[in-house]
Amino acid sequence: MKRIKRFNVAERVAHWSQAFAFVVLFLTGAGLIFQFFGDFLGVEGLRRAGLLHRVIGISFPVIVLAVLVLLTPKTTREWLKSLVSWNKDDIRFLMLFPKEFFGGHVKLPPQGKFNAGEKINSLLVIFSSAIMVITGWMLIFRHLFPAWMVVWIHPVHAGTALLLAAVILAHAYLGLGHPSSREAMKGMVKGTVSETFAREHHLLWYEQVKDTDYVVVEKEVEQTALES
Amino acid sequence: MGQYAMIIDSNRCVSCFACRVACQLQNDLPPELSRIKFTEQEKGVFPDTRVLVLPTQCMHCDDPPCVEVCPTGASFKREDGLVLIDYEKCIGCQYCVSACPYSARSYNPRTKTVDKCTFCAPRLAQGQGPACVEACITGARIFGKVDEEGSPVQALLKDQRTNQVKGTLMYYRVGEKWLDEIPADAHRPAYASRLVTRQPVGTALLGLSAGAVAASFVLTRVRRSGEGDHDEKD
Amino acid sequence: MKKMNRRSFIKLSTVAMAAASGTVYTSKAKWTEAASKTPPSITRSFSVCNSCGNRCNIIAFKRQGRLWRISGNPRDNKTGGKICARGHAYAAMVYDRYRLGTPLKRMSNGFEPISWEQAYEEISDKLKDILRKNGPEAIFWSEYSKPISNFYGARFMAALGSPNWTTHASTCFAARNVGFNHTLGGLPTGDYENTKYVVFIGRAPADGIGTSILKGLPMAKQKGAKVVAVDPRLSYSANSLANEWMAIRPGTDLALLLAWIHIMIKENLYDREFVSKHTVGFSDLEAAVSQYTPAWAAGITGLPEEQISRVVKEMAAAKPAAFVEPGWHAAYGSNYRNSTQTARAIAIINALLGNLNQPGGLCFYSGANLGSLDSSRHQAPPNSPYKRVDGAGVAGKYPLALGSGLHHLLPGLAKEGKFKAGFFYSINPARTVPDREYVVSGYKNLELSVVIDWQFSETAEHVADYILPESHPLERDGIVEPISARMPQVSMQSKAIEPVHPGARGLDRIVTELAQAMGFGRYFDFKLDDLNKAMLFPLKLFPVHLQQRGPQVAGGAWDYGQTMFRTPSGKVELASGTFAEHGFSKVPIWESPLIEPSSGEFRIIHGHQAYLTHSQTINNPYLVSIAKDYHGEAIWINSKKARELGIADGSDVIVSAKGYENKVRCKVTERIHPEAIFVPAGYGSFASKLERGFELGISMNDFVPHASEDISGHAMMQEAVVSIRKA
Repeated sequence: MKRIKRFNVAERVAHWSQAFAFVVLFLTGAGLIFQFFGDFLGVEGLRRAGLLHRVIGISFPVIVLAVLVLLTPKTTREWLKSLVSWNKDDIRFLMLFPKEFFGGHVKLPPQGKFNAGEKINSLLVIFSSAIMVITGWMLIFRHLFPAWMVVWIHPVHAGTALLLAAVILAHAYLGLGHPSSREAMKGMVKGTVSETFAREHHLLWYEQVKDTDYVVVEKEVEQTALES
Repeated sequence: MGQYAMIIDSNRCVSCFACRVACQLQNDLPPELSRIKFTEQEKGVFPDTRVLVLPTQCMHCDDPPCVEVCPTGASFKREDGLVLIDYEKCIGCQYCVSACPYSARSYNPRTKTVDKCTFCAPRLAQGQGPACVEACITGARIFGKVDEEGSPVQALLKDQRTNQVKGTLMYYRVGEKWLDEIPADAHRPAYASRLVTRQPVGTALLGLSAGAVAASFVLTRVRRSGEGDHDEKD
Repeated sequence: MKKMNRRSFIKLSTVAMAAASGTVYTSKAKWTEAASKTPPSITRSFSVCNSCGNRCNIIAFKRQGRLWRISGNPRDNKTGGKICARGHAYAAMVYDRYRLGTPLKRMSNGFEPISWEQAYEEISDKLKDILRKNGPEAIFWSEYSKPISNFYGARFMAALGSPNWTTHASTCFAARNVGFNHTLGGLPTGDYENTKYVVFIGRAPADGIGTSILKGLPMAKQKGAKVVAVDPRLSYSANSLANEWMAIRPGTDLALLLAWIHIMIKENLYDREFVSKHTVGFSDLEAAVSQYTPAWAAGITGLPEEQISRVVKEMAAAKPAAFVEPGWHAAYGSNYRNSTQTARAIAIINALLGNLNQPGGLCFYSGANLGSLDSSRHQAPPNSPYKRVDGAGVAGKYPLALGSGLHHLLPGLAKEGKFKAGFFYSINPARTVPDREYVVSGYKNLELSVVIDWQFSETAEHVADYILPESHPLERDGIVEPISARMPQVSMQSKAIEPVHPGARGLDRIVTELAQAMGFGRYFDFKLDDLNKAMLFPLKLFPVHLQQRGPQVAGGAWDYGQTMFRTPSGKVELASGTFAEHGFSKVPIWESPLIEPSSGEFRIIHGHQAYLTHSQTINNPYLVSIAKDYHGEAIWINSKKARELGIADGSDVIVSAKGYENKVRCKVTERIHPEAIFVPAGYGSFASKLERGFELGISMNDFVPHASEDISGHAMMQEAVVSIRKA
């Protein structure tokens, strides 16, 4: 059975670092937005959460950026390039996707390595994460900014966190819970996707890589086990 | 329980900072942290010049935004009008620092909690006045209970030239031309605090996302189980 | 520097932790219960503040044996229980890591700790050597005047046979005192509470803080008194205390005062009865001032003629409850060529107002009648047979200068080889005397220089051969001191806490032990306590009374109405025979400042801020943080001039004078005369060991040349001009 390499190790490390950081940061920050959760954590819990929030919030953006820029600059560049290149098929994809999302059957237009939905997801995550990092640093160095600005940083930081949470919730569901995207999850876990999945979901990309060393042949047994 | 009031007679304040340092020592604050801040404004052209020196601190709002935004209930308002911080509950998130319209709160790195003027509540409990009032050399600070017979503030509160910072326990006496410089009503900037505490937009977005996910989860399974297990797309 | 800061932070944290168990309520429940709680164990002791020269009575509060905070003592009749920021912050220095704890000796590679025995031995050997070779004249004592050193320093010099016991007067108030002494026979105090009209000439009692004035003046103002501030700068005092600001050209106060005398005499506004009964020299005065019309003064001072005339008429109408305040350093303490005669003119106006010893006027309050050591039991050293080397009180030099000498002349005399050894007690001439280079290089010629202080200073760092650590004033008793007020009192700096540095010693002990090492122990065969007992004996009090109860009433209440003056004639000397005798004008006549700014130049004027005392407080963390928070180090320049020079508020400027320039932040303001720039005093530290304030701001003394005025011999600290440009 043929499988296609979709994400290299660095890309996967960066993705899961980001995922881990988001979950921890959301859980350690949510106590200040949702009172029930704050009550659940208690004062000492909130203090510890605050400390962890700072540690993770400061270290992980650096890790993610460093991995993407230093270890896999080529794919990062390609990924970013794909985010800004849009065509009619992408728009059609977006129009048709809701039906697909809710279980309908549609013939989706051909997509590249990242489909339009993934591109939207990427853009939202990059944009929101940047805001989170910037406002987070501003809160740490709040004395350097005028009071009127600091007043607005709290709602922006919290609001963006919720936007990010909304996006990531849907994203996580598509990876974990939606039947038609499960193979994509494998791409992010072990790095490869099935040839069928690549052809049906990312035809344009498949055409590019089908005759290259991106294609790996795996033993049938393993394949069956995985597909069941 | 009667409410306290503090009157600062700006005409008498000579910007000597005795109140600031007395407060710092009384309340064990590090040198860099001060509960009293001074603002200064100059009017007129040489030699017809005058300066307004306005010491500010926690105004002890009737409806304090800091209490509203506090996620742990550490900031609270006492019956006698004092806005205080329960340091055992304060987690140092500084939402209140942002919400305070008078910049009266600051973070104390020594205690990892937020700090602000308490009108020296521990001293009040011992029957003394706030340290800043005791320290003021020129008598520019006057403090007492509003409705107590013989309270030092009573006569001055009746005076027209004593201006309340609306919705707070603070009063200022300034020259005619400085009336505009008295800090404005506390409630104006509360818009920021509601956005902080409620996060209506973000919460709605998150709810929407969760709803869509739930709907998809159910619908995809209902539809596909009806159609049989023929799907090859996976 | 970072490392030190962190360490202090940790140290302070420990203080805070200790505090938490005291009065700081931490939880909501504790806040609520607070009222029913018994006060935590707080103990009090009484002492006297040493943060400046005012010597306010204080109460030191200790919590669990540790000094916590300081407040004023309400039983102090002068202050009414108020102290300033410096007094409150005083508590911070006791445990400060910058305190000196052991004697230090200068070696080629810095200071090295030595034992007291070694210090005494080496210092006394050197002193004996100098006494043998150069005689006692070659030794001086220099101090920032304090009761303890007024006694021990002076007695030590007398024991050695030296005439050179010296205080800081010549860079402070020398001209004022000489002027008042030769007119009124002394320096009176304003009866602020009862006055109806006060004019301040340059003095800013809320900036260079005088708690008694700040207490009394608002009371008078509430009763309708008017206050006028004559000052090139709208100080915080002028702004808040004065009803009217007369923005005078710097250095021309004498012209204004002469015009006021002119108007008072010409328009018959003076107290005729007082003048005829209690003054001498009126006709000389009348003749001398006839030319000084308001129009003339307006031309010199830049003040409107109308204002000049009106203010003096208002003041005269309020007499005798009106006075021109006697000042301190401000405009004429030691600032201009004409300062001594300016002080005379002020004394004269007050005499013309007939306000002396009158309610609301200027009063010579009586001090306590203190005793002294019984000389039959404790041999007193004879007075030195030599004349002062600095020329104070010496015919042909500075015959009218104060007996406490001219300390700004000492470095030059050291350079000339006239001085070989010097003691510096709690004084820092390297920073507080004009011309740093002159002072430091001059003093470096000394064969022996000994600094006695409880903290580092520029003088200690750059001049001293030996530094002897004094204990902090709150760790030891001081000397009994009188409080002059309508109800005279005595007070005493008393030990409030156990010594933090056991290696530091009190001045009384240091001087006594040094005298013993020199072989003059017979003049110091008593303890400080014996001296205090002897001083209190006539009042039937003992030191323990002052230690346990704070200031005590000393003698009966003073009353208004006295008309005897301690002048040669026993009257107010409108014309001074003594001045005439020594070739000075017997009545004040106009004399312009020595130096005038030409175009593009500014006169450099200076003054205190309420939270700093000279260079003494620049390392106090609480005080220097005020300066840093509010840019207290900024120099002031007039807005219009700043616009011309393209200088923005808050920007840096370069201040330059002959051969020296420095960069500093600039405050652009309408509050200052266009001809002047104001440099706040106490900044420009160049002692690297005073880390918190090191190199913050600039000092006027880097721009003011070394000089001496003729009559009182003072240092003329505002006879200097500078240029300003954008940094």
